[in-house]
Amino acid sequence: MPQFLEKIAEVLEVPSVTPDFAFRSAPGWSSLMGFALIILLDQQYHVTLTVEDFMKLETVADLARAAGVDA
Amino acid sequence: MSGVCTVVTGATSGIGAAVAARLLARSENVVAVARRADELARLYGANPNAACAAIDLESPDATARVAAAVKARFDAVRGFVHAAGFVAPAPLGLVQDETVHRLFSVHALFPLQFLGWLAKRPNHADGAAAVLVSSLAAHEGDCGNAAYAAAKGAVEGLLRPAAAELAPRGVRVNAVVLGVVDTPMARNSWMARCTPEQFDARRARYPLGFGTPDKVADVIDFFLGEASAWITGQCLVADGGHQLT
Repeated sequence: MPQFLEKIAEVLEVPSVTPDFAFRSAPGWSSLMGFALIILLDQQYHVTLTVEDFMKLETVADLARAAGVDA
Repeated sequence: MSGVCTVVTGATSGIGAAVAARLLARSENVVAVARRADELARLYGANPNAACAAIDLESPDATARVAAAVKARFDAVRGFVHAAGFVAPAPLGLVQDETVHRLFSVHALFPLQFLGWLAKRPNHADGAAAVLVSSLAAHEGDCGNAAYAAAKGAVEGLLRPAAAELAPRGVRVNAVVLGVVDTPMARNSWMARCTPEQFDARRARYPLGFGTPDKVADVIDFFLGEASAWITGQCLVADGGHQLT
């Protein structure tokens, strides 16, 4: 989980995130960041998400669950 | 005619498969190149005019291996269609070096080297023609497409110098520059991930609809044959009117 949080923070361009952080509230959030999260999960966690799947996720913990990352 | 063939890469799917099918329907010889040996065998194994060549175009000796496949059955190449390729969308910050190398290897480096082999006199037949495949991705600003667009830009970049070198030998090289074509590659990438609204928005910018492998094969066929005998070093955009929108 800590490694996952670091990777998410890097994509969201914030110093750090917690699991309950609503990732769309990151300053500078854009659909391009959403795209980056989808690609990150694909490249590093080998999970393919559709945009529809992704739109159902709200927090970093949701992303972790989708990525199959243990709490 | 009996000793000549057309090399078609990406022959097990999409555009490559459509081109190979139409050549074989005219009883022309085809060297079908793709990675999946079982798919090649399934599609072409029973066809007397087809030679199957299961080759990964990323491998450093890909040209030598395709050349060997040609020479094992035929005397010379009269057509070369490079339809093999893949997409790997990623935002700039997540573009992986290895992926960039693979994109360039398959899309641009292989045809560059194979055209070098093709240029030599024993390897091409009179009136030989090569057709490369590029994409409007190299002309438009689609987020996530930088590495793919760079590789296709490399295809268009090599086109004119290659055509210039090959023209004195009577070999033509042209490229088709494609908009969205409904192929397994498209279906497995953006079409699989986007929302219905995103799909419709994209489709709305194609007045004549998305392309199909057969419609693209029609254009490639033109460039392979006598009807384009006075054309070389050209890119032809086939995009269903997309650039007009």
